[in-house]
Amino acid sequence: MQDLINIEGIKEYLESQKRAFISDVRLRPSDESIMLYVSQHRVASKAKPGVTSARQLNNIKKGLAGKYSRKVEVILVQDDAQQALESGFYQILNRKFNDQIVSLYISFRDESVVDAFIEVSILTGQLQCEISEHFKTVLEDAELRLGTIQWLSSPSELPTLPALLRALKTLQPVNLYRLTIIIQKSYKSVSDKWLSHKLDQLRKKGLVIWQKDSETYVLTDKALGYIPAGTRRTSSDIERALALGRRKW
Amino acid sequence: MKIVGEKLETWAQSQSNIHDKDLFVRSAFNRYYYAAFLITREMLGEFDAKWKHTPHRGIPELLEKALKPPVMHQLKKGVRNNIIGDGEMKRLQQNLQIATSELAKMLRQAYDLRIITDYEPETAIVVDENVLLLMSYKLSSARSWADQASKYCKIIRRVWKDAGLD
Repeated sequence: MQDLINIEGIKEYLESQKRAFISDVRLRPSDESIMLYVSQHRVASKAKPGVTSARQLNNIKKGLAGKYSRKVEVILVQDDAQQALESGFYQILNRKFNDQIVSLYISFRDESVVDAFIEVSILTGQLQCEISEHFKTVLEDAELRLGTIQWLSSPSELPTLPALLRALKTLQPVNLYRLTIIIQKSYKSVSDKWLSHKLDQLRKKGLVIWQKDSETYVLTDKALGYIPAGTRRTSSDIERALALGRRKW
Repeated sequence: MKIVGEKLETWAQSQSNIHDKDLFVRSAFNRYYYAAFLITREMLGEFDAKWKHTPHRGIPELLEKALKPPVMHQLKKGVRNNIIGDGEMKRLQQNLQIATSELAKMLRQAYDLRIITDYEPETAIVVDENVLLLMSYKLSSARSWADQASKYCKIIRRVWKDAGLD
């Protein structure tokens, strides 16, 4: 039988289940959902006393939803500590690396492991190594561990092969010069040498054909089968149709 | 939208009457939420037109559940066709997971607050020196919601593009 809803009853139920990591409970008047508030720092990959996991929170949601026939939402409360840490790490790294860090975002995998996204103005292998090492030390001083760093090196970013294939689909048949100019609009650091090497890789994988007489590249059936097709405004098929319309024959 | 929130926040600070202050604080929270929501909705609409019409409270779940399948499908196809390697697939998968989960978490919190500001006038604001709070949320922290949404959307868009999706 469905239990009558009352906030004290829910709190007692959670207490009986030893759910001390839930900092607050309330009923949202607009839709009568049960709202559970849990501090972000009380969530880890595995549940242990005083700390919960995503799986356990999901089970609590299901339990309460069944008991009270209400929607249940969990709000993971992010305090200002994360933003303060982000800002602090950003300043420390920029001081060490002469303002080369464009942006830095962190995400807590659990209470002690930090994943980071770091954007650098011009990323080199050596700089990447040095920043990683230094950041690891900074985190260790704060009793945190580094999970992974994802590099967002905006001006020097390079397209992946799937992104390159999609561009080729829109522009084909296309020569190296024109393709370089168009790709450089989105990826500034792409050079014709780099692009030529990538196109050669794609040719060897059977995805691109080099047409010697016209010195242009076109996609194979295999590549066309790989790139998603659609009718949306942003789909590669529509972009190709528009590109053909603009082309001077 | 964010600049409207900032203006409202400035006005809230300058109000001497607590009732007027309460009204401006609520409106500022509301605008900050909408700024983040609209940034996210625009991105979702680019990926799939029907996602643009997802109700507010459904957006976090959509971010957590609906984006992964098309990205993973395309990435696995890329691995099968020897276009990308396993390492590249895992990197993109992880970027997507972190960015969608952080954005969902933030929007859930922001939406909860937006509901409190709009539908629960009995929950009054608290003024702690110059810090304006509703429940335990600081208005000054809400100011960063739009910027946070932008940064996570940037990462998600990048993964989408790198996977070769439209």
